[in-house]
Amino acid sequence: MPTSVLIVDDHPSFRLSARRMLEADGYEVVGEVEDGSGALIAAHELAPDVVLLDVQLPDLDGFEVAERLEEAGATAAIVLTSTREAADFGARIGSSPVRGFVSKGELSGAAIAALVG
Amino acid sequence: MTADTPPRLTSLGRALAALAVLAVAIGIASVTIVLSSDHTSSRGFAAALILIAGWGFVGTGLYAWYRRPGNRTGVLLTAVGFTWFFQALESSDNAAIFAIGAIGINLPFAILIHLLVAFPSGRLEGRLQRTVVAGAYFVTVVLQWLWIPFVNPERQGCEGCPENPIRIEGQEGVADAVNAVQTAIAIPVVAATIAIIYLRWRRSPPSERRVLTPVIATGALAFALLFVLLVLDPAGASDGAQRAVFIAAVAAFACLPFALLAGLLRSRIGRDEELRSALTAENEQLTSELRAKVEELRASRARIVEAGYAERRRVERDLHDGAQQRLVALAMSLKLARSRLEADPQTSAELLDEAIAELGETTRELRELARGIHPAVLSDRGLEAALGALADRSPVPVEVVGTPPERLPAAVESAAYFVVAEALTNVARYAEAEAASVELGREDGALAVEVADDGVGGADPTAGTGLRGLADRVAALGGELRVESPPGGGTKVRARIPLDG
Repeated sequence: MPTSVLIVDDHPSFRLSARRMLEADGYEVVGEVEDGSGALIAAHELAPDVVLLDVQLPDLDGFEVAERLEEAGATAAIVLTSTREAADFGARIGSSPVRGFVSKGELSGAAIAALVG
Repeated sequence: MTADTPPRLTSLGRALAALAVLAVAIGIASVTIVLSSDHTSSRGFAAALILIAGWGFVGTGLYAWYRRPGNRTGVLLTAVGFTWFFQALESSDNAAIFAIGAIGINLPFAILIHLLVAFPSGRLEGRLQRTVVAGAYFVTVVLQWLWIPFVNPERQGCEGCPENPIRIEGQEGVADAVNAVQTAIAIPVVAATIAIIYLRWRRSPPSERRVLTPVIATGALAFALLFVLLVLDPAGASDGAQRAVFIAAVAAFACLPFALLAGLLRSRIGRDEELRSALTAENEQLTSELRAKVEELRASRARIVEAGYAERRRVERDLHDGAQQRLVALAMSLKLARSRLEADPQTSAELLDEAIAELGETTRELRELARGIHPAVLSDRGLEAALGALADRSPVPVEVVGTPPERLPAAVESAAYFVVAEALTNVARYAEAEAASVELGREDGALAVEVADDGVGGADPTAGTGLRGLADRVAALGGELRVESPPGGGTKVRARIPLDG
């Protein structure tokens, strides 16, 4: 059974590219949402294995969304992503309840598999 | 010296002219009362003394007041003159008017003491001076009021005087007691006044003494003659001698205001102090204006710096949300196309077509962003072409007129361009306008820019950061930006940008 993914990003062009790339690499993209509050609802309803979560969202930021998912008892492995580098966010990634971070430029099925295991 | 230049006929001048007219009327009425009196002896001389001294004090007082409005001496001289006319009321055959005269008759001497003690600066300094002047007013106002109800004029030696209308019968003893207290206070007050004036004269440098001497000599002579006149009658002097002293006293009192005026105008002490206080006041005003200006500049500089940061944040955000996202998506599409190249050439070709379209969009966005930072058309081809390009891009039809064909300083062109760009952006966003116009023109060494629309108006220039930032930018060049936007009446943004920077 393929790994299911929820994509959270406010840029449609990124969502489209990410979906194609992940599907080409054997993932099943079960949903796309464009903001943090949508992510909380979709994660609950779809119960994906992985949430690919953009850091900069129009409402809540990615760290906030990750914390709320954690509090809600979500079992999904959360992977943060951004056009910025991991170093731009300092220690915040390490202290956040996420599996890891992959910059958008490095994004691939293999990069996610390496973090999720 | 500018301090001595009479000011134009201001509200003060008009008020003083009205006082002069009043003094003339009171003087004529006073002479009429004295000349028709049936209990005043030497009516002609009494009238002359009242008129010459009264008008002399008022006239010189008003002149001094007009020339040196900051010095209280003019006011005091005028007050002495007006209260001097109380003497005339005492000649009245009407009981009420007579009583009013009796109440006020000594007041001018208290004001005269105030004036002499404060001369020439017009200000009382120190406790002694204030105590002396307060004593003089106490005797001539408070005790005078206390005295009046108990006075029997006939008993005071006045034959033919009207009855005291508020007299409490049979209390002459109280009147005598109050009179004794008045005298007891008046003697040290007069003595202290003389001492203060003498000491001031002694301590003055020779140049100042020349100014004070005529004033003090005239004042002393007048008071001495008055004193002699008061003791002559009980001493049984002849009418001729009394008459001679009376005429001399008239002359001395009539001269006193002129001596005071001359002293005041020639006094360097008074003038220096006045100049100093005028300069201080002017200084304080300039300082507070300067402080306000500095505060305004500081605030405007802070806003310019903040606007710079805000602009950089906007550029960063635009780059991040726009070009960077597109390039990331583009990279992913290319990677995907590369991986499918052999297995699925059809999909690869589609992905590559999409990537090419995406690249075109990215280029367009970067061009737009760069124009927001600085429009290349402005530096390359000038204001006319740049404003034309702005008008072409506006969704609302825009007519541009009057753009100077020649090149202007870069900062001026740039400010004008961004004023028009921001104004047209606002027109498109908020104005609901049918049409807009941009009009430029040279005015007195400045470039005038006006952007007008026929939309809904009601724009608040202080609400948004856009126009505020532009106002600061224009102000930094020494110009100004104004927004007129009555509700329902369209919006006009006007800027005036000096060409010489």
